[in-house]
Amino acid sequence: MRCKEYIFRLTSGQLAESGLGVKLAARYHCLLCPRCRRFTRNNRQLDKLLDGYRQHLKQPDQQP
Amino acid sequence: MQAEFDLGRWAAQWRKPMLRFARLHLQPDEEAEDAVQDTLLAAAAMDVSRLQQQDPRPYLFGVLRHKITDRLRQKYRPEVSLSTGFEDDLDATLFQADGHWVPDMVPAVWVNPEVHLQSDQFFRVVDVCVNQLPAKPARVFSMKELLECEAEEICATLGLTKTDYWQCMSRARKQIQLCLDQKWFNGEGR
Repeated sequence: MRCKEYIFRLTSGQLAESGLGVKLAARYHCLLCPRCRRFTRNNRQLDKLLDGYRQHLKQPDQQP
Repeated sequence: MQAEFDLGRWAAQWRKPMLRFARLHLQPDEEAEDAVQDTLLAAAAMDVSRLQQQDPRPYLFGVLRHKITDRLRQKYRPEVSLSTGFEDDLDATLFQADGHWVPDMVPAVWVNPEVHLQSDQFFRVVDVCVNQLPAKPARVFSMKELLECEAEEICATLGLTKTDYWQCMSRARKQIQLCLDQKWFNGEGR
């Protein structure tokens, strides 16, 4: 698995739906590739940031 | 004595954030206004004591979500679907022909990103990054991440194949990570 394929599967959500073989290949790639490891860490953080953004959008208007 | 509940003031308090939320998904503005108005009318029909006692957000934004997806479903009926192919030109910037990263294109690791959730300026940068997405990935991304729709509902509403959906989500998440890195975490925004 090359970086482009790994990143596509990760960011599309396809990886989460994949079978064991693909998940193992992805995990192996990530172990070997520091760039994809960095991107993956940030991708996980992005989930938390987007959750915060979603909550921020729902804040009531404080002005009278 | 408990103060009388001012429904008009309560609605004014929630109208602006609901409109801000609806505008992310519906254009023109009149569509977003209509969805918000329908939601507030539904709330006004409720027992007022319930509105006073609890956080109204789950109810208000839950109803608003349905109003938005109903309108999107009407707009993107199968005969006017978005299922033309989407070419991800971003990959040509990020990856070499052999599928490996172009050196220096990967963002550095974000350190303590959650502390930035206290910053209004950070959210303005997120707004910019989301609004810079191409139209089709933006539509898919906002339904998934902001309306919290499942993939199947997104595909059915927008007339997409699962492959289209994956391509749009991938483009959106790659671009947003790069944008936040450039404009906030390791770049110009702070």
